[in-house]
Amino acid sequence: MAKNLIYNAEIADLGLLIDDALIISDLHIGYEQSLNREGIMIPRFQYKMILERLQEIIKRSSVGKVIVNGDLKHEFGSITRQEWEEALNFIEFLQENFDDVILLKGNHDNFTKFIAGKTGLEVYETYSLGDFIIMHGDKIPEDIMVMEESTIIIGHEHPCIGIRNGERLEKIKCFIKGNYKKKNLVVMPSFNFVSEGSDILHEKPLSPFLKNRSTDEFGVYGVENFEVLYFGKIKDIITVKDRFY
Amino acid sequence: MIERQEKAYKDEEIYQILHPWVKKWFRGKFETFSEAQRYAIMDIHIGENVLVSSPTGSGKTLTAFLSIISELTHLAERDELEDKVYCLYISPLKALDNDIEKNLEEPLSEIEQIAGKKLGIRKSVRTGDTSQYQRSKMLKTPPHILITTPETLSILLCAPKFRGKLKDIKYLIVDEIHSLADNKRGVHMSLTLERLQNLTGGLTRIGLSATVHPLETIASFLVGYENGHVRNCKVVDVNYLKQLDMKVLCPVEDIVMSDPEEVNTALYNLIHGLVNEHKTTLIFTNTRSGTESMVFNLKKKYPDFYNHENIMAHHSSLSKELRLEAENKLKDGELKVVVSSTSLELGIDIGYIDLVVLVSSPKSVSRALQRIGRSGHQLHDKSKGRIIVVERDDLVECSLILKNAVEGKIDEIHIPQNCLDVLSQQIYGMSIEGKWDIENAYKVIKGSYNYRNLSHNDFISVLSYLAGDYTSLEDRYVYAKIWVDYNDKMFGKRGKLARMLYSTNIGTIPDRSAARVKCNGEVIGGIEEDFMEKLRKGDTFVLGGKIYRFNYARGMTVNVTPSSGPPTIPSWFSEQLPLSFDLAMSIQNFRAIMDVKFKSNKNKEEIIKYIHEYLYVDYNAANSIYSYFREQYIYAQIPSARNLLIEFYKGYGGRKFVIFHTLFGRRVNDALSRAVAYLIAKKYKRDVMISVSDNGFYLSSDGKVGGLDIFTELRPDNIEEILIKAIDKTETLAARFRHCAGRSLMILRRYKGNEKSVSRQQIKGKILLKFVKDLDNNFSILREARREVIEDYMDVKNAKKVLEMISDGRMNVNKIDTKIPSPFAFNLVAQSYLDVLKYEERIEFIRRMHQAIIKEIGDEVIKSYSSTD
Repeated sequence: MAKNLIYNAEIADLGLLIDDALIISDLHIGYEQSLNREGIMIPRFQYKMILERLQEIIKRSSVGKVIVNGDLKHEFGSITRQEWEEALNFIEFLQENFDDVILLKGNHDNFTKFIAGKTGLEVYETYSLGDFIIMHGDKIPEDIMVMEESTIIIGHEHPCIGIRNGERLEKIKCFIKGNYKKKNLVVMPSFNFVSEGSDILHEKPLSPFLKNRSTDEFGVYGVENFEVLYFGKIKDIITVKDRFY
Repeated sequence: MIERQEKAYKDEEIYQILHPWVKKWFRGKFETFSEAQRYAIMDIHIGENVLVSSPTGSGKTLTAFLSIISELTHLAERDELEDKVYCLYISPLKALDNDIEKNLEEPLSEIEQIAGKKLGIRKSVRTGDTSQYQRSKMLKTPPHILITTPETLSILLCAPKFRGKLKDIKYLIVDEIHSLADNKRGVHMSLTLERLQNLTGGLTRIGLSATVHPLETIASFLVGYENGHVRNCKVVDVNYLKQLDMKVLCPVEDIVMSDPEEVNTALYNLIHGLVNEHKTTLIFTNTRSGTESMVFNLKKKYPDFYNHENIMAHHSSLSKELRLEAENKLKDGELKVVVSSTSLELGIDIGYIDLVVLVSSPKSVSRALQRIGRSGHQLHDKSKGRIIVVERDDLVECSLILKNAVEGKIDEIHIPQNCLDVLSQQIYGMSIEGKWDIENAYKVIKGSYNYRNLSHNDFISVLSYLAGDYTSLEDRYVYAKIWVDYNDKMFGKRGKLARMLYSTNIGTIPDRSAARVKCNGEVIGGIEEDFMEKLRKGDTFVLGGKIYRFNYARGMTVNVTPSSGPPTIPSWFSEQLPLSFDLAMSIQNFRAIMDVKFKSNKNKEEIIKYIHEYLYVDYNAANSIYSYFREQYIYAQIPSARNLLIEFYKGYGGRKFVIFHTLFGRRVNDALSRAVAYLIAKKYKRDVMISVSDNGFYLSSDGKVGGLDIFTELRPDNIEEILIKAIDKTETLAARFRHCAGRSLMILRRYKGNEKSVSRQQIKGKILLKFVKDLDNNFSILREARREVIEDYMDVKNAKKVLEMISDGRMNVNKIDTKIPSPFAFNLVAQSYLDVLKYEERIEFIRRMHQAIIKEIGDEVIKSYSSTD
């Protein structure tokens, strides 16, 4: 169905499908533990949810390859052994369920050496897939404009839109469809369940791909439990949304 | 047993028990004892618990302290004063603590002069502001009179060394106890007092309170329970000695016929006139935004008279510095006017005020009395208050406040019960004191008035939460705050940081994460996170009486620039005080009387005369009330305590409105309306729009609403259960849950140096709530959040009473169809805040809003979208 396609990449819940490759981004495993360290005593709960959601995607589509577009682990540094194990278990889960696992570096990931040592996997800065170039999006490669691919796929931003009606506010995770200079740009939502992300209608963007420029013409594809809802362009939503307050 | 103290002692009798030096000092200072002192001092002397209710300026401090000072003087004379605390004074405000210390300075030093030698009776203030140096000094030479706050006391109870200095405390004074009784701070304090009781083995409790009702309940709250029985307490009630000069004023002759613009202009004229006739005026406005606009408009309308030197705002969103500046300027008599929302209601010394103006209804009799009591300083001064009404319902309401105040009928206070979040925090505190036998701890906790009926199951569920039983065994070391040994029936603290964690995270006032507002690099105040989230670029709002333009928010800081022109404060931002149930019922009774008058064909003069006499209002006001009620009587029916009227009318485009004339106050109406709306939404599978105010509520829908039939489905025995379901998906529950999680230390405000972090903000109440529901739908903190919403935020208890009145026939339910809303319904429809209550799942909400947005954006989107790929 057309509405699930952004530049020919298919939205599959919070992931993006290009042929038989599934891209997921910003899992932030271990978020709860880092919250614990800040005094928010929430037990671990999202790891299980991430696995269940991935299994559901696998069940619905034929996927051979998985690409983790950065920030697999929320925090690296003085973390416990148990938290390391969770990250490794997750990679093991990916290796068991996909033929090929590609890891891309995010701004939270300083685990290159460690993962390479333990799993034999490499961690890449960018990954090319047909006409798509995939990267985390926390920085812009210098040679971006001479790359051959016409569409850039990034994560990092955790985009969502906040919709208010009366006293109720719900934030909906979304994909953003836009451009960067002459290239197409797709921003992916985060594949986690601890936070909805940052409201692109309201908050300033983080990624240098989006900073200091107008995103008015960008299209918004909301996603809620496999359902895709096209909301139109950012400028249009901003114009009409106050009418619902 | 709680008893009224009826016996007033004579001067000689009281002098007899005082130390000669103290007696000499008192004689040199005062002609005679105040009424409160005559009733209370003897009982305190013999170690009875006493609750003293008297107005400010009646020598309250000495009432409590005189016999204590006398006893300390005895000990000092005999050189028997030990290095320990004899008397503990607690007040809700640090500022009040500092005032009290100053007030004790004079008697103590003057008695020393009379003695002709150093007596060495020490007193000190200890709060969160006390420096490390002062603390260690206090440990070496503890004060004999320790002045503190409820929170600091519970920290002191955990301090291994200082604790020892507290174990022989003989007297405990709780000042302004009424302001603690109706909220979780008070719940927290009541447990702290039981912990203190347990440590000392018993002490004399003295409570000082403003006028609240019933004093017997406040007394029980003060003294607590032992073995299921309330401890003894004498109640001293010396109110109304200070005469009340209280009037209701209409800015215009006929408030029913005047348009709002006219009333508004007249309102400022009236206030300006009153300010000019007095030296210093304190104006209360109920809301912070009202405070802001009052200051703004007075300055704008009378620029030659008001400037930032002589008028200031005072409310909780202003920075501490600005509030302190206002307080100091008041004390120094530099201000002509100070405008406050509610923040100046409490008893800190604010200098000479000769007039209190209340703009529109203060919503309860006790609040009115307390505010007006801020004026008139000396014992025999009259308290002077003027309530200015701004529209006709306001007029009726304020007139009944006047009647009730004059007749001494005061609203009943609501005291929260069995709060499991506060209990968690206190059990953690207890565990830091040392190991506890589970049943002994339960017994100590049940000593608190607020927990006297705590079930054993609830108690155990809190222990289990604290022990981290909700997490997997391997993770438990992270979450468990205490260990519980169910076999040996013991519990105790876990972790080396326990005491530090406890003392830095104690308290019950929710961490509302106020955003700092910065203008030109300077912090000028704070706004709440919810408010910040709703501000859009270019919005202007008022803070500290000045207008600012919102530029952007970064993290928890809001950047603004000074602006001019009318502020664009969003109208939905509501922080109205709810009308008290008792006041509401007295309005309902007045309505019933009026109904009888009209039905028995009394003539106009007769009725107006009756209103004038019954409500103590002038003839203008009586006339306005008469015409307002007559309109309603002729056009429809008068809803009242005997007649619950449900009015059906069709609005624009055939939209159906069902108006419930339930004048029970917003807290009750919130409960009734949400329960009814939930039943309707379930039955007709329709979105129901709901709108609630103090005087009633209405439901509207584009389809069938029903109303009468649904209302009768609601019964005293099922409303609670229905309500719990109805609030399940609301923002209110999510927000309250977050507060409860904070109080029960599931979310620590301060932890290893982390205070405000980004992830903290991203963890919204909703996500927490969802997670906890998945975990255990009966999780103790979740149950507490639900209880808080339906019992404290709403008022399910009185909603049940209303339903009982209906079911036993004291109140009839009648139905009426109207073409346009009846006069009483009019304000209700026009003024109440709107809440679209839709009991839909998140996905349904998202789908509906998606449809609505796409429809608003129009066809171009659909076109552009089909041509994108």
